[in-house]
Amino acid sequence: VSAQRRGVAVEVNGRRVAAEVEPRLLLVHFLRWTAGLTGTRVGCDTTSCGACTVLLDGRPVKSCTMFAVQADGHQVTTVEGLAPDEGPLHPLQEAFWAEHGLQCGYCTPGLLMAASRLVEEAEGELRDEDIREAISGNLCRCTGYVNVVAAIRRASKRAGQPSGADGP
Amino acid sequence: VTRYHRPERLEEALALLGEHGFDAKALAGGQSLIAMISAGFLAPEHLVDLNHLPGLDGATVEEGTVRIGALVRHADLEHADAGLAAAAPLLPAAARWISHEPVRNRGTMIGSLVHADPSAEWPAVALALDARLRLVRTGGERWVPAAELFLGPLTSDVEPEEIAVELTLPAAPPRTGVSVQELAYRHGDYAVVGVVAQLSLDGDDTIAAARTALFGVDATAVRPAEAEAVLLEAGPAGIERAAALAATAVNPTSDATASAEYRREMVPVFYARAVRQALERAVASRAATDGEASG
Repeated sequence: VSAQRRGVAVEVNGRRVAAEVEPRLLLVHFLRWTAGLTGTRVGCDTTSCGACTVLLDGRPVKSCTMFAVQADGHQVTTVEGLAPDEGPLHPLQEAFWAEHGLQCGYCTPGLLMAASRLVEEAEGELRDEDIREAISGNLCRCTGYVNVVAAIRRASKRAGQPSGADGP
Repeated sequence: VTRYHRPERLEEALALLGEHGFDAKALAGGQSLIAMISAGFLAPEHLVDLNHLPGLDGATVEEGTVRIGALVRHADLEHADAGLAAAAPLLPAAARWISHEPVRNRGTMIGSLVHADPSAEWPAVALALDARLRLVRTGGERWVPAAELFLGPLTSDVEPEEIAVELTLPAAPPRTGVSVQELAYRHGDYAVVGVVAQLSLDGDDTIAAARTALFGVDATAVRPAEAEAVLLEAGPAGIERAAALAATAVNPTSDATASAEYRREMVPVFYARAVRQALERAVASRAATDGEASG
């Protein structure tokens, strides 16, 4: 049986991406191959590692555990959508830089997306236990998470201040 | 997967499942289904996406009955409003143990029941609370009590042409406390041993209802009836005896995470912890109620 192809239109980082895709295409592959946004990583393909985490309508989801056809008509934010191409980095990205919250970097886009909503909604400095809970679905094999947690905490401190009042 | 269907009416979805039988799978949250397809354990030709069906995303409390629709996500129950949390306190208590936030944002409670993983939280909650699942097929429907739903690991009494559209469970009485105790090597991993408990008190502080279930320690979730009977009969003094009985109600197996012997040793420990905490919370809720009355 030849596979059906189906029209899909997803708003990715504010840009409409439309294509005819096979139903079995995972959202993560749609983002990487069809939309050309390779910041989102494929770690395990089995819902275990969190490297593929993106925001679907503003909430973190694993893009390897959703078919592209299911995202039709929805909004997706990837790591490329955190900061403008030519502008300053997102405060969370700045904080990962300042705290050395990464080594090889493979898991970093997933960690950034998993933590981004937490940081944006934070009213003042986040507690470590809330940070660790938010990133508990993301595996990192380099850092031991200590600097990752420090980076997210730093970004939350910044989020609680008026914009422009702080730098790394 | 070669065909994807996005019905907008329940009748349409039922007709598709009736037509394709074992070649089709209903897709709600997909957090087990898609992972199993990716891992090569399942290869359904047809996917019937339930996410565009109307009226399945409600979680309501009416006249002492809690009603949960097929599209209610784990995260919806984790962040249940005050009314729902009061009527079914085990729902938010258990939801926060499930996997991680991105999975909780997609996965559904009813999908988890149909999936019937013996190490998952929801089957135990459904069993403890006497939940009933409404299964609909073209031209008919039936209600299945949780006690009859789980047939074995990853096997539930749901036919390929049926859709589980909603579940109901009785609202908790006012003086109720709950607890979920789980042994897992990392938060969000499947349970090595898990216990859910909901205890309700009479006016004179005796235990009026004990609803408990164990998971991760048998082919399905298990409700230890004899242990509950001891709690009703002997009260707090019977907790150790009930916990020992709970261990005799299950049949754990060994796997990479733990041996059967270790699981059996841990059952009474976690059962006693869950019952004690639920009891403490029931007593505390009573104190709070009294405080309101006198204040």
